[in-house]
Amino acid sequence: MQKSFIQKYLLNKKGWIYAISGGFVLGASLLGLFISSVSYPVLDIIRVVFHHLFSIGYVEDVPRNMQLIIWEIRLPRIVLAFLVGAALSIAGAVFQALLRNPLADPYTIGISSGASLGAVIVIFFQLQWVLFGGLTLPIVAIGFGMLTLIIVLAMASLSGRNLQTETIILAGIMMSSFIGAVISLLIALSDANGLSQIVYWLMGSFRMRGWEHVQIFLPFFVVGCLLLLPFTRDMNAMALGDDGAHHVGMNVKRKKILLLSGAAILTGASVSVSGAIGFVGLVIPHFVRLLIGSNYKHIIPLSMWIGGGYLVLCDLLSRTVIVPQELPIGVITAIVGAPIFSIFLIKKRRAE
Amino acid sequence: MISVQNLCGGYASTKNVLHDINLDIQEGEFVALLGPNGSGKSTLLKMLSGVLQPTSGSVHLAGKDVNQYRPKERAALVAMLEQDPPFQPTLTVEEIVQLGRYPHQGGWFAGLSGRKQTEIDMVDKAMQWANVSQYKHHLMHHLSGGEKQRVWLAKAFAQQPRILLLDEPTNHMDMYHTLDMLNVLKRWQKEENITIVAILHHLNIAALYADSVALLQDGRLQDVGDVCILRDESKISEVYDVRVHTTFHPLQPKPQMFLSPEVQGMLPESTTTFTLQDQLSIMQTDTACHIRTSVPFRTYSVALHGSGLQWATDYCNFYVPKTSKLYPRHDAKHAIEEWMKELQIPSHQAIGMWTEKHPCHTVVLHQADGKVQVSVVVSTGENHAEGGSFSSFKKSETLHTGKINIMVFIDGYFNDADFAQAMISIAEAKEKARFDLQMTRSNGPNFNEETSADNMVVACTQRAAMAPSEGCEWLLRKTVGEAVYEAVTRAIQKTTSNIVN
Repeated sequence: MQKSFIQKYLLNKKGWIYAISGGFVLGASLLGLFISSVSYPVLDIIRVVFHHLFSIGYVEDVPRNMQLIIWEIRLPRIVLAFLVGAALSIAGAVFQALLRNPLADPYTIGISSGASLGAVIVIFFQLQWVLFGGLTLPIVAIGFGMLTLIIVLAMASLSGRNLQTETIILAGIMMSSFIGAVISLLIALSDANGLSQIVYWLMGSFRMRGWEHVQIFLPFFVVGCLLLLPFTRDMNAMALGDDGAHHVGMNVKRKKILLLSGAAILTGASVSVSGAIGFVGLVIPHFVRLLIGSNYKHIIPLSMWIGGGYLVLCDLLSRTVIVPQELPIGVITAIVGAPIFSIFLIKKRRAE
Repeated sequence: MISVQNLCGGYASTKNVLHDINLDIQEGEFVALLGPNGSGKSTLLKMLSGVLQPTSGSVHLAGKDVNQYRPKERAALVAMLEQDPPFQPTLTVEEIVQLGRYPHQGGWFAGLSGRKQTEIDMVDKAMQWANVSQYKHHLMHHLSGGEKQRVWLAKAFAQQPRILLLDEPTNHMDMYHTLDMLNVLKRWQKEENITIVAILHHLNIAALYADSVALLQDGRLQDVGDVCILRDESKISEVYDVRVHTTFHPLQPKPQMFLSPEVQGMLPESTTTFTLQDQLSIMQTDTACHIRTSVPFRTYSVALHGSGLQWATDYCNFYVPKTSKLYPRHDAKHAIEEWMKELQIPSHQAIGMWTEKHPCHTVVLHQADGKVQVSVVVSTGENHAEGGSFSSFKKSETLHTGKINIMVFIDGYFNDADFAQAMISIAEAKEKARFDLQMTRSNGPNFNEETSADNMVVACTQRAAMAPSEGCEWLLRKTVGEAVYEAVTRAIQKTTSNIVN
């Protein structure tokens, strides 16, 4: 009897955590929608969103420019922030599982550096409008990110059997350092205008991102999630070590490549549309772990929700703190997040 | 079930750890892989589980090459318990055990199949079987070493394998958990007829639990077969490069090994400066004759307290008058322990016996003949006449001897057979003395009567250098026999004269 009671309690606890994180996402999105430098009546905002989403309601009395601001500027920005936050958090959790290293984050194995290099090259050579119109930069960045992944995997598999974790990390760090140096070189060679553009881009931002960015990001997000979400069991098995995972019947090498690719796709796509946003991918999975334990069956979906919601909130802060200026979102994520999560960590650890 | 042919291989392609291993293991067999550190046991296990590829040769499991299996097929056939898993997952016990179901769950929708009732039941069954259900929601790293190992076992059980490989499953475990673990394994082997290959470091544990052993040295298979090959002292000594002494478990028909430390010397190894007599301090009082040896002597005895083979330092014969309240009628054994307590004799390394009445009936005799030194202590009980009771003693023509307790101390090295031989010599000498004095026994040989028999003790210094050589044996037998004969004769005469006077 007691056992089933405990079980129920735990199930309920998990249920609550899921419910609260869902509410968190909804709340963050609504706040992001309502609050801005220009304030509109809440009811009108909801009417506009519903009208565009489901073609219901009557919005003729709402000014045209307000409709545009709500639907073309605020909403895509929120959606993109959510997706990027979700993608980075999932990727961070996967890298931590795969590399069995709590310090791993989406940027550990150099995918983001590769994507950044692509973006920096586009900015440096003023190619923003050359190939694919406004989407040249994200597309080139994703291409560079994937190229980096292939090089890292090739390096790791050339230097040893079974893609050893340490080898992957080392190859990734080697790649990051090399690309980082190339980026620095390009920065050093740019003029003042290019310099500020590059630096600003590297710090990350959702400024001027619209539905076309969501469009280009969404396919990568879906593919990445499809490659990762069904395999939370394998992420758990990775905790047994490579040999341990082998013994329970996992095809270690194949699963490693699969999971690395999924996480790399999410990371590369994120960096391409919004720049290198730090902190989220490293800390959100740890925060979720403190909440619910180390089972990736729960870590992955919860990281997705909480990471997405968190980035929506951070984006809101970045555009409202010093209106009309916008802060780089990478600054906000860490400045706001670090103290909050530190306090949480200390409380949780002391309670144990 | 497992067939290893001409297996060679190692970690670096240039240097082989294993050389030409051939091994066949039957289904349902428990095989212990033995050998010193670095002999290739773990490497062999890794090749059996397919983690490591051989450079040449093959491993066949259930008739198919281990590397031909698909990973999940293989995991449904073979489970492995690693030695101190290098990573400490922060998962709960239940989540760990669930991982054991991995090979039985489908690919992309595996996350869902975990919710099926049959899967949940199997995980619960495994946890119950390994007795870890109560830790279900505990985190793995909060458990003790023994509990962790049981969780890994539950995980392996959930895998439902036909073959179980174990790399030092009882490492760092106390006696209770070691036996507990192996009992659980043995039960599993018997009930499900699974094949077990385990690396074990304790040869004695291996001898008790394994059906057969494979002995590895420097990557080569030295011997393989029934656990009885562990009886081969010279082979074990050679493989492990230590001196072992093999005997048998007292309750199980299994060999057991003993080791000797390099630094032995409690007694000098050479004979020149050694006098046996000096090692014995004999204390005679009104109530007891107590002999304490300077170092423990290897002792074989038939006595009320401390019978059998052991090491002892204190040898006591208590004198108890029949009139005394202490006269042990029922629980003599317990009485002797009480008396020892009074004299502050450590009873766990003491030999205790008793005779009736008085101290003057003890004779101590030291005898040396060449290399052989013997000390004999004989205590006799009250002699009395035919039919005479103690209170109404009358002079009689035929005298009976009471108990004759004999302690013999010998400087030498005895094995079990030597002790038995010495016992026989002592008994023969005693009876000869009694016969020559025309005494009969009051306590025998009427086997129906419930009387306490004579006690005998042989204690030996067990100095290694003194192992009896072929020519020495008869000398030893002769010296012991003569000394005992002499001492018994004197003791009986003493008692007799005591009565007569």
